[in-house]
Amino acid sequence: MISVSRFVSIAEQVSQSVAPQWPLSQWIAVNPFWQYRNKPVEDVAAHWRYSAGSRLLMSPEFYWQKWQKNEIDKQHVTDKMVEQLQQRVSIITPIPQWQNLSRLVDKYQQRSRKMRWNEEVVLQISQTCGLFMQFPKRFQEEGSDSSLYSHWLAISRADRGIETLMDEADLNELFAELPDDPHELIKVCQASFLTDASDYALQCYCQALISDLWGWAAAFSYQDARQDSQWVFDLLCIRLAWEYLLWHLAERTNTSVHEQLKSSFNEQLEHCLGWVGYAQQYNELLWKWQGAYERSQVTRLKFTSAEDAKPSKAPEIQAVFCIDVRSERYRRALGKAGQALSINTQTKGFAGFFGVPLALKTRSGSTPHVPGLLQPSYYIQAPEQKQSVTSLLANLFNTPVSMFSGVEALGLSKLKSLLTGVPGKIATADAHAKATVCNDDGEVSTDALVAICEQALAGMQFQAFGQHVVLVGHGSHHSNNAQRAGLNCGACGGQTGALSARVLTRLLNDTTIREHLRDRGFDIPAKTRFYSALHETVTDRIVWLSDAVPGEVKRTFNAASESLASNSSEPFKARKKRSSHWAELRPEWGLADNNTLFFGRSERLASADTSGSNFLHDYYSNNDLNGALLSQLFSAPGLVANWINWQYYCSVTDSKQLGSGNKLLHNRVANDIGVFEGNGGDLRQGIAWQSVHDGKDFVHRPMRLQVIVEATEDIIQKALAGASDFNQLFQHDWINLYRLDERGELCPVTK
Amino acid sequence: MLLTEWLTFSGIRPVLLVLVGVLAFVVTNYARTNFRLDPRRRAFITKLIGCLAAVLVLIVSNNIIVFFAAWMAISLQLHSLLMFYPERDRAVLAAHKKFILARCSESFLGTGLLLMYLHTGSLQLDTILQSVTATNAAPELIQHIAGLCLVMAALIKCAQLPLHGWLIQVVEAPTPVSALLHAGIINLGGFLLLTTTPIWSNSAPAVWLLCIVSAASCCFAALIMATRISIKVRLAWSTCAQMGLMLLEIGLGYYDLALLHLIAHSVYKAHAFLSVSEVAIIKQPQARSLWRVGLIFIAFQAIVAAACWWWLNDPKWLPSALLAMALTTIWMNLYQPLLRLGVSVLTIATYLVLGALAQQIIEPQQLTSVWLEPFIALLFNAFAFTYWLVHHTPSHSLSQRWFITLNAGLYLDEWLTRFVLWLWPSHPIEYYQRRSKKEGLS
Repeated sequence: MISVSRFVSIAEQVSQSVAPQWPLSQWIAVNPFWQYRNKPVEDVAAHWRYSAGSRLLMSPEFYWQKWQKNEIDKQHVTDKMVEQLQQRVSIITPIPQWQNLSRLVDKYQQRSRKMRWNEEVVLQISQTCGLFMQFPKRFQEEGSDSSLYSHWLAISRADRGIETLMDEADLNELFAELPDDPHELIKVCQASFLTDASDYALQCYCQALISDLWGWAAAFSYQDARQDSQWVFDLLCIRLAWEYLLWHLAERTNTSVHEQLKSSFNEQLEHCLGWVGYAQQYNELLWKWQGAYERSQVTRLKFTSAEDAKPSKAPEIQAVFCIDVRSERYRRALGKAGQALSINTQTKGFAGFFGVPLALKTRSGSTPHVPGLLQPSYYIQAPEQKQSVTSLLANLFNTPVSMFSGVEALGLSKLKSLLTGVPGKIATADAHAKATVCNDDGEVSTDALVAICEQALAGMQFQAFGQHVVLVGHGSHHSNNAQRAGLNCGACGGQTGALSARVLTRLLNDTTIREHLRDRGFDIPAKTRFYSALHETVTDRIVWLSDAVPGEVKRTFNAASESLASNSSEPFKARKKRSSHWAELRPEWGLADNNTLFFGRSERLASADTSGSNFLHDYYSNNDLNGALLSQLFSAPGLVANWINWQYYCSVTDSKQLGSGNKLLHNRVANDIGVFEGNGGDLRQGIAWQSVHDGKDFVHRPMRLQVIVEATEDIIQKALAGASDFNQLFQHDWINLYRLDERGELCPVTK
Repeated sequence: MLLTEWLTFSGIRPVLLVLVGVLAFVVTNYARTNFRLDPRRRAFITKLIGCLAAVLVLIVSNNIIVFFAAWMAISLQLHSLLMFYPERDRAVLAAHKKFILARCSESFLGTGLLLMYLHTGSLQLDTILQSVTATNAAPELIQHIAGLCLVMAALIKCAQLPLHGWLIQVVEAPTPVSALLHAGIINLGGFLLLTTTPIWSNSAPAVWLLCIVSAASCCFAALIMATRISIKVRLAWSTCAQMGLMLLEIGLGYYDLALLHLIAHSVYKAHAFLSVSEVAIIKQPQARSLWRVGLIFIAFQAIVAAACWWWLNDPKWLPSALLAMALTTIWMNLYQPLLRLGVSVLTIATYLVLGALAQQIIEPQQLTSVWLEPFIALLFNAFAFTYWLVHHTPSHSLSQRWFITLNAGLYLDEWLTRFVLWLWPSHPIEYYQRRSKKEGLS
């Protein structure tokens, strides 16, 4: 028997390995297995497949179909692989999965005419967590580590409903006997049904338990990272407490069931290592096919040789876009529009917050406009909002005492908006156009502002400044979507890029700041002006944020927007409708089908395809011989792209567990911490079904991120050495890394 | 002549037809976009339109057999909408619960209509009502029973406590279904009672049953609503409470207010459900002094009741209490004196104007029992104070205890769920087995 403290540390480690999920208003994509980057993806996949049933690979049928449609090329596949896959498709072999006690009880106890335990346990915990987050003043004890566990215990002890519902009279007695302290609980659990458990088995068990409430665990992981709490651990203990309850309930009321529980649970504890091995063996073939699929797809990208992509003369218009895959199509269109109008136009790719680590502060809280891994160091104070009629009405209708006469008198005021629908919206940060940048000590000094600009310019890697430089953020104009933030700019924390673009534009047009910048080696010509704009990604229109934008700039952008509208297969009217109709579930495809991250000169990417699968980030290796800049790029946009890519990947491979389900059933929870699907169950995480599937097929190709770098092997290796997180992802096959050579060929990077 | 045997457009029907028309237009339009690219779009829209057609038939039918058939058809169509995702076990459980209760409601309705047919010998609704109105004598036993049956049918249809669970649990269905149900179909209980007033309103047991059950449902559902954590479930509890109020107003003879309530609530609730995904944080009530809120409320209530007495010779206990509650909330949430006054006056004025308009369509009726309304107004006072105690003073020990009990829904639904599961076991595993068997055979 291993020691209790060992069990506690395993439980803590599993809890700490849950990736966070941001609340709806700041929802950004996250790699759910981020904390497992230090382990090979094959191991993690097999482990989670056994312990929680999670699928990190597509089904054999998927690869077979792709093979038959020639989407997987022959040179990446051996005859043996084909033969084995064919066998796999024809004979379905079930892969064993860990069964928690709640599932085993459901299996052995005759409950066909009763509520089943497993789903009811999940629902009960989920509802309790909801109360905890929705009514913090009532339920969250200040300064208490285990407040979530004790909250759950208090609610459960007071509740008489579940006893009635499950038809188990002894349940409340058992609740009363539960230890008050989570560590104590772990101790009694170990003493009662985990006496023979090995380290490995406990880890499987903890993963299986947390995966029942993965969504809440992710939401709490977000909270834990921002305060001194251990709510994920508490959640795990709550789930464990239910196992303990069911074990003892069976012991008291039904000895034959208890015997069955005992024998099959012990068998699991003994054999789990072997079963994980089996899952790994089973997956081996599929990983080969996955690799072949990815290689076949990535080699469809065509690159020009280095000589063909020589930079042209100094551009007139330079436009800096977010690296978001949706920018790709616009950048191509803009380049072509420039050619057609013979206005020399250059586009650049950079993180959409333009390197300005900002937050927007209001009285009720602050909204960061930075990537999830960063903390904002500056903020902008939003002006006090006036009380709006809508919020007063909402308050009147939502308050139990006032909703009766309130609805009778004023309910009809919703008639107009019922007939026309809720209009679409996009945040353009108009109110903050002139706001000052502050930090905790108040308004920041010119020096700090110059430092912000310097950092941004260094990242954007301007070789020369054109006459007009446009900073183009992006955002999505649509209506009535709980996951709106997921379609906005991830680098801006799920907000639009408007605020960041506005602030940086203002700073870079400031003459004093420019003077200081000149001292630091950034000589911006006097005739160069910066402008800010927002790329509206549903209709591909441009919303201008700056006044007095020169006619030629507007003309070029308009031409680009129009060419995108006319080249698209659907009429512009339909797009317009998607961006404004309140019932629309698929206003746009967002980042679906993202799969490649390219660091280099975008001119070298020659594929005619404008579907928007590529994150394009400017990188000039000749200025970066020690790889320091590339290392930074690996550690910032590289990780962001990995998060986005894995969020989509998992939402496709396992849409039930790692996707957020059917949008038609979405139900916002606990002050918008997330959504339920329907009436309850766990909080959902990941991307919704409608966002990755068009009713016939997936619109996202399940590919791990293919990172392509235009640099020498030497620079890449140096950069990898300096970017440990990224290097781990690479070493353990969470991403694939290629070097783009002079000829335009992709060469694998040595591990 | 023949047409009037089958169809009727009397009373509140024209207004309701307009309302149903608007809802039908909005909801089908919404669903068409909602299900864009969904392979089952056509199936969904067909079911939706089937349901709406049955509602239209019900509203205009003058023949009690057609009326009954339409009533049943609505519920069966709704069932197929609630079962749109048969692989979701919670959806299936809720649909089964609803199915069983709908059959109960139909049995009551059928019995009530049958008794009236036996009593009057006519199958035409308007003839039945005329002959009941014509005999001014005290109601006979058969009329009492028929009245009770109709009231029971309406109470079950409107998901009143303790048979409310399905209404909360069917948020497992797609959003347009919820909008249709909560803004449209659920009102049919009210429609039934409003169009058959002569049958039940003279029967004291029927009126008392109606008022007591609906008042209790209204107060408890509203209290429970405020303890819930997800937006759709909150809205569902709110519907349960609002239906309680509508039925209560009908029971107390405020037919005009009930009609106004039916229409205004439908519009508001349809909008609320259809815009359910717009991220908006629900403001939590701040901690406040119970005495201060209570005093403001009592003062408002006294003023409103006195004004009613002055002008109308009747203190209008219930509407006064409810209006005072709304005014209290406005007062507590607005801080500028002018704005407070303006919004309050606007609310009162709209209320009066809309109420007067509703009175043009349907006349209120004087209640026979003098004590029923003050008693219910008192109940609502208790309700308001309970709410303020629970939500404005979260640290109070009673507050915490009541909160947990309310959050559990007063443990009313658990028995019914157990019964339904026992009667009609439903688990998704069986569904999958059935489906794979079917596919295997074909």
